[in-house]
Amino acid sequence: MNAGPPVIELQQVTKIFRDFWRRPHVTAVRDLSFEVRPGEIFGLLGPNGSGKSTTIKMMLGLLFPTRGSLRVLGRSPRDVEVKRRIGYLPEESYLYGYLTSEETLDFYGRLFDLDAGERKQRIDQLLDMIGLQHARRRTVGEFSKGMARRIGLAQALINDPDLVILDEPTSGLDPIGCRQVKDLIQMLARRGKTILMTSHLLADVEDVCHRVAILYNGEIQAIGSIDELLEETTRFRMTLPPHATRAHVDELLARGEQLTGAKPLVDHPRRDLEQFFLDVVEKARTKTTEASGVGRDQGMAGYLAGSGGVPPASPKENAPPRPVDEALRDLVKPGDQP
Amino acid sequence: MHQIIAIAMLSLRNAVRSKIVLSLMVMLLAVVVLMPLTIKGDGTVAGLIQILLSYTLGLAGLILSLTSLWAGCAAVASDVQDKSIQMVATKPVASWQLWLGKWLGLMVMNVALVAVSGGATYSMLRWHLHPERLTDPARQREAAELLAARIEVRPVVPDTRDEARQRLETRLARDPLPPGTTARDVLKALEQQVAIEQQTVRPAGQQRWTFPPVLIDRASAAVTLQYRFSSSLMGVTGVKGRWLAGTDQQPVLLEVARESVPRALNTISLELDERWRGKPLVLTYIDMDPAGGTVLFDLHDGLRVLAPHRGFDGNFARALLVMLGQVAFFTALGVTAGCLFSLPVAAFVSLFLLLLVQMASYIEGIAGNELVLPWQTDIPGEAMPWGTVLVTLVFKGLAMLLSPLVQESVLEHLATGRFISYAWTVRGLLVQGVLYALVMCAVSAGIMNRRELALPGSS
Repeated sequence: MNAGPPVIELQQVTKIFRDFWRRPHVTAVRDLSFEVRPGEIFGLLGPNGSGKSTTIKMMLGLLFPTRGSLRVLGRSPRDVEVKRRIGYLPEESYLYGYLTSEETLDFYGRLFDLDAGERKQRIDQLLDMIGLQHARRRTVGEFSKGMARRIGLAQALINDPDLVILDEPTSGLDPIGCRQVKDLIQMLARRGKTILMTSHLLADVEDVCHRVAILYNGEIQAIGSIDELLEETTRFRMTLPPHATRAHVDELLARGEQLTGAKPLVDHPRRDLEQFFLDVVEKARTKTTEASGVGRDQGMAGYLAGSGGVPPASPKENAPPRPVDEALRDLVKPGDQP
Repeated sequence: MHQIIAIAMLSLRNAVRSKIVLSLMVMLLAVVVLMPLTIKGDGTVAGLIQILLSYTLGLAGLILSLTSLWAGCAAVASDVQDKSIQMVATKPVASWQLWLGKWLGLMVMNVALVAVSGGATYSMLRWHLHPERLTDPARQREAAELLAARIEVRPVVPDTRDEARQRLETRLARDPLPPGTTARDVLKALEQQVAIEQQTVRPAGQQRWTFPPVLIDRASAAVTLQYRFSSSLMGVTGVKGRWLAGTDQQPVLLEVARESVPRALNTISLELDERWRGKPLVLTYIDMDPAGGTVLFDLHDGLRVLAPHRGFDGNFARALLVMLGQVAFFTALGVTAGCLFSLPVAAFVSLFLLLLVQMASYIEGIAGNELVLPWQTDIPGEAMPWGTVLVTLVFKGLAMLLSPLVQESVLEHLATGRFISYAWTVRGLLVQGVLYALVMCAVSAGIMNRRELALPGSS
């Protein structure tokens, strides 16, 4: 994360929806104050109706706060110049169904005043990245929800934005698509982009967000980094090196019982289902030469990865499969390692 | 500029895909092609031209207005409804660019539709009136006379106020005014009386009118005298009279005796030569009717000279440009309504405004009524009730807004071979089509900037 003025700053923001007669009807957001810092991946969580989408729409100038102050990139979110630096993926991809993938991206590229050469280059890279190169001439109206989501994501990145606002980015995507989106989000953050996202899939948020705010009934109930919020400082986990045997474990358990007066718990580490699924698919993919559209792609768009016009190789292609114990080790903070 | 072009292209594609717009386009083609084939005229060339230009092109204009109004309403309102506007409004696009892009896209469609309608009508007209098909020389002459752009010259109407004032002074010197009558009322009545006298020909009497000089650029110019009149005798179908044409110095250079039909548009062809070059045309009507009725000419609608001025093709093109201006105005009206309201409300509001525009001349007439407020009169009962004052003020405001839209029927001018002036074309295309559109663009942009596009009920 970079130091510097906040990218998004809300102070005492309240949004009240009024009825036909202008009487206050629903208070969607109440006295909301927080900020999102440059290079941060910030998650907005909350159940349905908690005010997440209203907050995002105020940040985009689609709704206006009833009270309070809201600044995005140092200006009012209704400022046209601010919009030049924002990429937005709404909760549903409200695309023009009669445009093809290519035409859709070209249309949004034109709205950002990109010249023809740059548009073409970015469209090619984005279609490669989202794995829809083969469907570039198919109309978006024929797409499945997942494909439409991918196009929606691509249009949000066509302008190489400084701030990316993603409303439920993994909604409608298969696990591979989810993983790619999460990789993409992390890569964008590494490049100094600021990302604000909402998701119902808490595991997704936990995987990628630096900080989160949990909304309920239009108010912030909790805010902080993932570690701050999730770390249970009164409990401990110990990870043994791979060559440890059952005898070592039994000895440690006995010692632990002696010291604490209670028998410590021990179990086998588990992979999470997403990682297991990805491993299975990866194995299947390498076995067969016939690849589906979603499996063929999918390096990061060159201009997004900062490699000019050349798309970098997929991180998955370069990296050897991670051993399970390595994945498990990553879950443990360095300070906890023996 | 990229933004405006992108939105314009999208707007055009969207409109072309709209089922309602497609249905209206099919209707438009059916009208242009089938109507002239199905309506049986009166067999005259003028009747055929009337069907093709006034009725066919007129109905095409109405359908085009409805098409553009609907497409305009849907351009923004349907984007708000299906929320795709949220994807556009979060991009660096100003509200005025969105409005202008939508309008320009629809105007591309409108230009094509006006061109196709005009082209089809023109082709059918030329096909029907091809010299090989018109074998009768009289019909050929009639076609040549109507397929032209003739300038309209009306008689110089003498100022009635001086004459009326003189009569009032004479009257006041003779007798005082009756109680309850003001000098202003009497002067007004005298002005009307003088004006009527200038239009009236008593039995066996005569009346003279002076027309501004007609341009005679060749050895001679065939001009057409058109007149409409009423007779004091009921049930009369023909009135005998004699027309004399001349100049100030020589009032009788041409003489035509004619039995004319009351209330109908009567036409006489006059061959003016160089004797009239640069000189006013003086026309005298002498009543010769044995029945002895008084004849009243309508100077505003019924007495004019049509002189050759320009060709038909240019006139036709100017008529299409004026039509295009109207269509541009209705498109702007639709887009504006669509920016402010949901689709059904926008369609209803814009249809209401369409009716209002169609009634513009009627509204202007009502607004022309003089306001008489209590402090402006000392006559009891003369002042208007406040309710009437309020309504009149509303109509005056409406008339002020609509006055640039009030114009004569451009197609009526085209069908009767009358010149459609360049000023009219510019007013129709630039003022109505562009200036009003830009004003609506500014208003819409201002309102759109204050409109929340993601309100829960906005879809």
